[in-house]
Amino acid sequence: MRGWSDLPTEVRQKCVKNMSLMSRICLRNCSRKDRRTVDAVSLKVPRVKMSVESQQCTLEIYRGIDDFIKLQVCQDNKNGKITIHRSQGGEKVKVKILTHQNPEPSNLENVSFTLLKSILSRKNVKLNILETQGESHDKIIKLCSENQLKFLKIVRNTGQIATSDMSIYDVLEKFKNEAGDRTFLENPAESYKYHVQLDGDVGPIDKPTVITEIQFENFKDTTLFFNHKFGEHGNMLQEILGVLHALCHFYDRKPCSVCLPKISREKASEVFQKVPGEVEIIDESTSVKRYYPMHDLLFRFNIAPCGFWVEAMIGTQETARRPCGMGIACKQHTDPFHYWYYHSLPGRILKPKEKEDAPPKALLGNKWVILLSVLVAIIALLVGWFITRK
Amino acid sequence: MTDAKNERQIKISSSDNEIILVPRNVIRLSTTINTLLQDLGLDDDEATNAEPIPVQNVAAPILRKVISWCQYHYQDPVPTDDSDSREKRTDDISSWDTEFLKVDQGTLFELILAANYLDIKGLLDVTCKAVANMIKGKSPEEIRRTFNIKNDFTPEEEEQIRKENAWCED
Repeated sequence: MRGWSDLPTEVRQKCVKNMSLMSRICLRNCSRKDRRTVDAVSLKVPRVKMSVESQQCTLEIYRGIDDFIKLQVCQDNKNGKITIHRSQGGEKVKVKILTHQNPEPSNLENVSFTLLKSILSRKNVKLNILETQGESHDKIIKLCSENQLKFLKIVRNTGQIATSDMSIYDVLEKFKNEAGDRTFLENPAESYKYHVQLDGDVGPIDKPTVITEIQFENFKDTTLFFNHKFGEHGNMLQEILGVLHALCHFYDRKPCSVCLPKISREKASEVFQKVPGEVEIIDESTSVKRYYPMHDLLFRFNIAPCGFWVEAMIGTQETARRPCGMGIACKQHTDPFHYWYYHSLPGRILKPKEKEDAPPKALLGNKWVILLSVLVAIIALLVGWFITRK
Repeated sequence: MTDAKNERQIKISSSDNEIILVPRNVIRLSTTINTLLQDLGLDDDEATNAEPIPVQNVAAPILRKVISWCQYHYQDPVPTDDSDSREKRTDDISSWDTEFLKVDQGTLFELILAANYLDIKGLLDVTCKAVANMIKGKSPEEIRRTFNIKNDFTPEEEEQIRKENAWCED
């Protein structure tokens, strides 16, 4: 009977194609033959996310749905020691303190990039997007180049650019001037008042969900995510129109669109009916309505099996209708990884709760029991000593 | 499966010269045999081929197991080429296949080789997934033990690997 090492190279490569990122890394370190086998199989890494805080740099390497490695590089500000926490896989992440080392004077970003290099800087690895948290674009490009990491695209999430007491107009104005490639907006209780929900900062909410995506075409490939529940504060149609007006005004009257992936078909139909204008029936489940609020402004409402979206167009030229305008919110038309990535933002991607760092409650309970026992024993000894003295 | 039994039978012989009859529709899953039958014009004849088709690289016990897999799966939709570019998952093995693959490691590798030689895409996929699952969560040392891999790195190379991969050691 034959073993793994007896299999022809092409068969071993077929097995490697089915292996997770972590399995490939481990197999690569078994023998020279296995290293050659793993390095001969193309590996697509759709996204690497990097976020730097004062004493911590978090790297998330995504190969696909539920196949990711998360590394938290933490530096002790007292002794400068670096600790790396690793977690991997799906929901059940395990966090372990793996290494304690005293690095040469160097910052967390450099250490993190060296780590990335050791994992990803290979000819067979195709890197797609590097997502950073507002670090200088030039600095990131330099670090990538120094570490032979060739990403197809580097996207930058902005830092906090607005507060909850700012109106949507203030937010958009600030966003226009300071935004990176993607910014998350989250609405507090009041209508038309937003604060910026940072990617990587959950803030007061437990489970952020992308409720509305607003995409700006021709504007630095920017995608703005509003986490605003339209219609909660009155007339949903008025709110949508208000947002579209604001967007058109602040983005130099460039085309933009709003999609509402979370509203039901019934609710979407209800809003659609209220839109002034004639209905154009495309097919039995797809309809379009054109509303001209001003002479050169068109809001085109679309209701289709994929969802409900509105496009804003300025000028006399109407762009061709797309069969789906839901972007990453459409399970059918978007890349499965991107769909999963944006829809699993809650919890583990944005800000996983690091319960593992906290000592288990049972252990804490035990401490108290031990302390109490010691105290009782001391009192008993003292009492005993006092009685024998008498 | 009853349909398959009533079909025309194809005679194939294993590397140890055992002759096995397989329904034509079942063996269609093997691109190698399928192409051979078509190229040799054996499909024009409705009768069973007089001379068995030699499957020289596969012994009878493995060939029988391969045929049993084909008998269960011959009505499955044909896997498309674009499935190769999709993300691979290894947690989607059906319960029947899971039972089928409860074999020793040697048999599993023989099945992979047979699937590769006979070009049975579905069987090759599922057996490769089983191998991938065998090393999931294992350290390099555990993988070496599982697959009986000889560590041929020099001490210097090992030190370099240890340095670079300190983050993935448990």
